[in-house]
Amino acid sequence: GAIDALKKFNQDTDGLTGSFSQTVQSKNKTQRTSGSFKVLRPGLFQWEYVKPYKQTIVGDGQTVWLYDVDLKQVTKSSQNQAIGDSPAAILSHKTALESNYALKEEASKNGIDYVLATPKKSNSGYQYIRIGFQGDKLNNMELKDGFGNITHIQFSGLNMKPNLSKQHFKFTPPKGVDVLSN
Amino acid sequence: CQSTQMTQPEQWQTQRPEQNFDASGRLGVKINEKGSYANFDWSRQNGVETIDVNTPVGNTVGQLCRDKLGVLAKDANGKIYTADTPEALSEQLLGYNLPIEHMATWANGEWVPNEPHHFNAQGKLQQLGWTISRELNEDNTPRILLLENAQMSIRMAFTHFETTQTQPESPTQCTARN
Repeated sequence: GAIDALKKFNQDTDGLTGSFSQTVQSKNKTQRTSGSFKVLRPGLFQWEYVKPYKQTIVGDGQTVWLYDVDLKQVTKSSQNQAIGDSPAAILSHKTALESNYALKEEASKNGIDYVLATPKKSNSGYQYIRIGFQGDKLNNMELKDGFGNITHIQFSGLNMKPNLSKQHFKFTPPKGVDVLSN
Repeated sequence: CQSTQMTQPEQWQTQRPEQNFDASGRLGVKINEKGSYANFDWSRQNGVETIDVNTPVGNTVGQLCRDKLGVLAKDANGKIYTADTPEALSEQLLGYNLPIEHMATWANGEWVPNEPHHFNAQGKLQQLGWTISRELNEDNTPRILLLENAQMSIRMAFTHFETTQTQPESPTQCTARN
């Protein structure tokens, strides 16, 4: 089931690359963004928004770099406290979910097996995180926050053996932008 | 790509009757060599102005709200924050001083009435210690709003900015007050 798929997914050390499309449903509007990502455990990730704006978020193990092209700003923060329960953290840290969330298997739908993660502590900011697997392949994620906003992330074009190394997660700020620490 | 022009003085005007709008985007704050970043959803409707401070993934970490009773904020765990002034509340919740009281007026290309203002050589509006400039989309909606003062600079990049009709049935006070 999905919990086995999650455990297998968490044991994986080959890394993962692919594309994502993100839909955020808030009270009166829906916002869509899309881009690409790569992950190499433990702790290395790149989450790149391409449409409708360009933004790169890189975790190199020590620092999370967030570069927003329109803002001409790179914001640096230390990795351990910066990313909390974001999808990037969940995908790049083996124990991210198990330590703070209770896991429960849910009914499968359209060939996708689901695991529901509900926070053990009440101040996690999320009501739940749901992860869907197609067999062993990560398919989608859904996060509901304390205000009722629901983020749905659909993954596609997954490469489960991307042959990544630490070098792929080096971030060098471009010239002419502010590099500021959080 | 979208053509954007730096606003010229004539694109600034006195404040019109309160503009309702709905906007979203990202904001970067620079204070000396320190910086912060947030995604935001920002709306004003029926006298209630709400700013949701979000992560890139869309979850709201804090919500600032201003109505005729004053300002208050709520975090993702439902805790409510109040303060005497909008600036003190912003400092408390965000760690920096977002000029909540006037940002909407400036974003709409208006100067705050009954306060001195003028334009510098680059055509930027100067008011209440801030230097304000906008880059506009072809439809004259703001693409970038830049607010600078002696301590800090705030840069807002709008993914979406739309003036909206007044909806009398929408709430007349911050939802966090319920």
